Amino acid sequence: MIEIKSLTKLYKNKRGIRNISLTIHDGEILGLLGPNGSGKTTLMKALLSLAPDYSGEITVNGKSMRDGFEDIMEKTGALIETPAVYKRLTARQNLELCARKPEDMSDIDRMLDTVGLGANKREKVGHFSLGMKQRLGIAAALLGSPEIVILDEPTNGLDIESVVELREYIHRLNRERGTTFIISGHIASEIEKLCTRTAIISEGEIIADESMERILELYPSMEDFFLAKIRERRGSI
Amino acid sequence: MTRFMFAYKKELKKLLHRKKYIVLVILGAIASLIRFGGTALFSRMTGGSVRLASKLSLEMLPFAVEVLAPVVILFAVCDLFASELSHDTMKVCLMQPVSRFKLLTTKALAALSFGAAAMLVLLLVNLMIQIISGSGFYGFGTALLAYIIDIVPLFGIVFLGIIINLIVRSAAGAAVISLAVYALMKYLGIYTASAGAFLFTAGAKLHLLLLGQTLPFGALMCKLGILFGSILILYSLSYIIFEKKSI
Repeated sequence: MIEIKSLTKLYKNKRGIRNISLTIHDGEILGLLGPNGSGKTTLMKALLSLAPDYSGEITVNGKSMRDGFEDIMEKTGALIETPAVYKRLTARQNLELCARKPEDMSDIDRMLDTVGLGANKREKVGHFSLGMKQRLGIAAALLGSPEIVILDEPTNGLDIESVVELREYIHRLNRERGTTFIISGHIASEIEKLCTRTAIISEGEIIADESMERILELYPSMEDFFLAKIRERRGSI
Repeated sequence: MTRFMFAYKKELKKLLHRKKYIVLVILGAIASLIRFGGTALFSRMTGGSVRLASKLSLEMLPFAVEVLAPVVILFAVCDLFASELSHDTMKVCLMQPVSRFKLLTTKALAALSFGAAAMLVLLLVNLMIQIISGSGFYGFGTALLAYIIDIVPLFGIVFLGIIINLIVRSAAGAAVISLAVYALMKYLGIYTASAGAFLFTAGAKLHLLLLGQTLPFGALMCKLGILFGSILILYSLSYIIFEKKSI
């Protein structure tokens, strides 16, 4: 279980996240939905300590992120913003550098096959298309089957077939291994198909947090839920 | 320790894929050959009446420790910090299950290992030249010990480079500034001895203090204090900056 308490991280331009509290249970697929610049990526970066000077508390299975960083990160895979790749290296060599523990090395070929890059594993990543780099980034996040996976707009640059394949793979991992996912996006229909729960972020704050089942009981679609909550928020301001 | 070693090996792997280090070591070997060529030429010009028994491996030590290793180290630091920051691959490192302190240390050790490896290769090349030219293993034992001792001051160059790399985000800019700052410190050490003595770069040839010299204990401790104190300050400073770095 991931517990976030009063998490605040503000940049110099005053953008960021304010006083976010959230509990993510094991095996959930949480969607973070919000407009561009609403703070989705900042929240994910704070969760991974990529933005270290935050206030508030993050605990994973009762262990504080500040004290138990190494143990938590060994079980956490992530893709943040654009995939970070070493262009001079091959796809395989890139995954070797992304391995979190020595045992992950034996999972590299399987993971490359899973994301459809098996045939390109000896190619230099500098020659890859945007979609191929994205698939490599996803492979890096999922390498070694981590218990927690954080994906920031994972379908960016992917073709329709790859989006469907990724969705099925995420559902399979969640079903078979109980993997917890935190996935951000700004396309409501995608989050609707992918997630079991959704939190809407606007201007650095969580303005709604509901299970997908409940959302679809109350609204015709995720898009309607999102628009209603965003308009409610703007009205209140 | 397993996590630390795993992260260290990955940093080494990144550097091993870069060909520029091989080029730098080859240039170092060429410098040795030129040095040896000069000695041989002098002998020939005097019709063989003057023959210099060459301790090439020891003669080339100042070049190895003050030019070759620092350049290799500063380039390696640049590849592992400024280049990773500018290409956004630093987040791959920061998402590894090692604390920032350990990550900084693995990167510093990887850069230092490359500098030390360049010195070792040069030592072996010099030894080969010595053997081929008939000087055999003359002075090799002392040279080996001196090379090992002189690795220690290189830590200062590593952390100096890291600080510059964390401040200057552009990889090319960081490389140029690092080399310029190092050159300036060496210049101060040579031309303004009073100021230069307080810089850690003045202790680059640490073996001179420890091998075959009878320096008063107080003076020796003072010089070692400046060297190790500087390394500690630079290490701490680089960690403080790295710890606060947002990606």
